[in-house]
Amino acid sequence: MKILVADGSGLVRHAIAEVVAKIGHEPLEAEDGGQALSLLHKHSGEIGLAILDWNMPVLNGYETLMKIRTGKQLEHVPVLMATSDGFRDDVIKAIKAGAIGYLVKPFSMDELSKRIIDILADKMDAKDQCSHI
Amino acid sequence: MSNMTTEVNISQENIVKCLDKAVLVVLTNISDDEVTVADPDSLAFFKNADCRAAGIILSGDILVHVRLITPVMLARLLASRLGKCPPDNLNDDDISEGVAEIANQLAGRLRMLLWGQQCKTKMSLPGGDDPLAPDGTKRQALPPVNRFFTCMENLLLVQLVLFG
Repeated sequence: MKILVADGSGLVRHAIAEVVAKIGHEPLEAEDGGQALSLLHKHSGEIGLAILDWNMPVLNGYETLMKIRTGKQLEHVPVLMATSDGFRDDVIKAIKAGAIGYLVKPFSMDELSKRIIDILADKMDAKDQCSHI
Repeated sequence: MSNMTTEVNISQENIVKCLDKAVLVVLTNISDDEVTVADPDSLAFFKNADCRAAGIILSGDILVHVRLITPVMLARLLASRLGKCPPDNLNDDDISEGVAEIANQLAGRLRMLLWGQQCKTKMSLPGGDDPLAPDGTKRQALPPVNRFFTCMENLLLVQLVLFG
């Protein structure tokens, strides 16, 4: 499964991409919100999760999330926000806009891989339940 | 330290306390090492050392520029921790980018702590220039507050410039 990793910092982005690869998924890297949207549209049917940093150039993580949630093509993609402040109002704003969760930087790679695995497992469970209806 | 009070009634002393807390939490998490407050008379070290720096502006109820200044050796170590890669694999751009990301994380944590004191701000992207007042004129900067820390057996400086 492809996982979009959008972060303005190349170092952080590569570290997250390595975790994604280590747990058996294919990372797609974007350095800003604009690139993230392009990749999401290009691979819309194959992306299982998007991880968006909040403080990015071009479009920040929240603006990118809003664009993802306003179109039919990407509404199925779960979005995990990464933020350097964990600021409560921003987190609530992101969850209300449709983010599935958030991580506060600096986070450990163990914590990240656990979150990815959990989100993808929940997504599979939901899909199984739908197929039984 | 000045007891200057801003419009939202938060003293410079309280802002600095929040900054210290932010630095200790963020750097301890990144370095996985004990981080301590260092001798306040360490500025001379930074005048001769080869350093990398990055800054972030917090603007809103207060206007403040937070600058992280670190010797290259420590910048390389911290960037390697951030990128989960060996220090020798990093080039100059990686190191500068690492310092910018750490400044981003420090400012983010500071923003959260300030919000807890009813002081609301927004954050710039790393590397911002000197802040401008809403009318486009440069505001008067107060003298910078220098805070020194020891991390992974190296000194680092976090400078806070508050604009009146």
